[in-house]
Amino acid sequence: MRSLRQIALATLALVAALAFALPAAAQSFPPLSGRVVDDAGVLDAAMRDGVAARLKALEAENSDQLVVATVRSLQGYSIEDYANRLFRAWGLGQKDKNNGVLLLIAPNERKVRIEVGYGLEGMLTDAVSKLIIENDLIPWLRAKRYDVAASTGVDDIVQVLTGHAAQWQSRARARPAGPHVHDLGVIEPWSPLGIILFVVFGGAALVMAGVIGLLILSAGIRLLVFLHLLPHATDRQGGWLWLNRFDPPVDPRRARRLSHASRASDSSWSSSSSGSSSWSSSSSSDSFSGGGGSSGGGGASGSW
Amino acid sequence: MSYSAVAAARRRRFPIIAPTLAVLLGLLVSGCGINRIPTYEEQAKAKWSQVENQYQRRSDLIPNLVETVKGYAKQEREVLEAVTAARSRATSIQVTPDLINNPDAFKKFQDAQAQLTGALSRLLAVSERYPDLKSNQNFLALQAQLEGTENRIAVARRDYIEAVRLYNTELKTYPGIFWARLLYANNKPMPEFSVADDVKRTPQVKF
Repeated sequence: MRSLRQIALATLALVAALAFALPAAAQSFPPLSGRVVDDAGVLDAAMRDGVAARLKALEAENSDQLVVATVRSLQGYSIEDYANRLFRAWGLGQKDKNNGVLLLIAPNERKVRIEVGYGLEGMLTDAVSKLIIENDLIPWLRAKRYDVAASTGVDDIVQVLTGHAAQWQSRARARPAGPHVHDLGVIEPWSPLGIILFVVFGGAALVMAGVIGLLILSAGIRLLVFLHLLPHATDRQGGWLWLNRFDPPVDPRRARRLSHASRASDSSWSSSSSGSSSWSSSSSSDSFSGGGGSSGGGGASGSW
Repeated sequence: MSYSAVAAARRRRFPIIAPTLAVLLGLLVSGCGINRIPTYEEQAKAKWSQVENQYQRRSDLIPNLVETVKGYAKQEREVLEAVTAARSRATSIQVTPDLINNPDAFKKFQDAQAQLTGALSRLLAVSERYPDLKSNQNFLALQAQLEGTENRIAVARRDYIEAVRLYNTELKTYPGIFWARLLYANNKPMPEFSVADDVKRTPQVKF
């Protein structure tokens, strides 16, 4: 019969393998590779770097995370839906302040959206976002000058976020608003796949927590054994002495060899348990990453 | 010979460690289910109050909108009155956090909001016919705010539906079902929005 330790190890390994075997998200978002994510490949590299520098300065000034993104395809979602999911997937804005903004351009579907996090809805209101889109973004997007559009949009948003909205608004009011065709977009129904994925990820998180709990438990038991608070496997102290009656008659030399054998397997268990804890993931990168904020659907969209 | 002695020694130790660990593991696994039901319930309630907030925000925008439209399109009296009446009907429903536990009140709330949505979309469709109104800055700002609020309502409803599914699933599956019968016998599954409300049908007016 295999020892308990080997069974526990095997179970741990199986559970760890299952945890990693769970599927990744079906809706693919571009990775957050920086403050300007050019998935559609329409932005000029020099302009992209200039815009990224301004965005970095904004974050340094008041911790607002403004990200510009272009996507090749909205994958059948409305731009409001896609922008909100992308915003939450990337976790823009600091977790406690929710001060993220996403400027999303979808050149193939000809839609643009400014998605504003919960914390900035008072400053970058829907009306202001709509004005930025209609007056500054749409004309450039219509002319297919995506980088100028992104740059101008960023300048406007930065002005609003750094408290210089009054200047910008007086400029905007001077411009006559052209004829608009407004259609209230059809709100897409919630996808059942998203719910399933949420539950799956929740299950994966629980499994990981259980595995970590098992590791801590095993380490804790070893510590207690070490401190002689729990009986060591080879000694019968205190309350365990009554089990002595079940020992078959054994000679002292064999007993010493037995205790050495069990101590050797103890040390192999400890080394393998420390080995199995090395699969915890590390996700650090020295570039930009989202602060864990969320958005509630604020902002404005436009199309051209 | 030495192997069987080692195995015999291990077999003697087995009955102590194995059951102890099994019991501890069992407690670890089953004990963690006990807090999930109240946690999920509170999360769902929080998401519901966010939904109520956004509906309230929409109701607050409407008087201003009606006044602006009246300035340019006074003759569209029926549409304007329909919007005002729908709004007062929607806001007359007492909105308490307890609404989700009362299926009749919940349905009434849903219906009232759906009617308001319909009246609003008719108003906006009608206002497309007035170019002066459409270029009025105030109207454009209100329209942007209204679109934003409708989007926020949609997002809040999505979040609520998700939280409710988690809660309802927890009530029906292991190990939640045991804790539910034992400790939370009064907890009922929370209502979700009916399918008809999830798809907002608005007239698309294009020139």
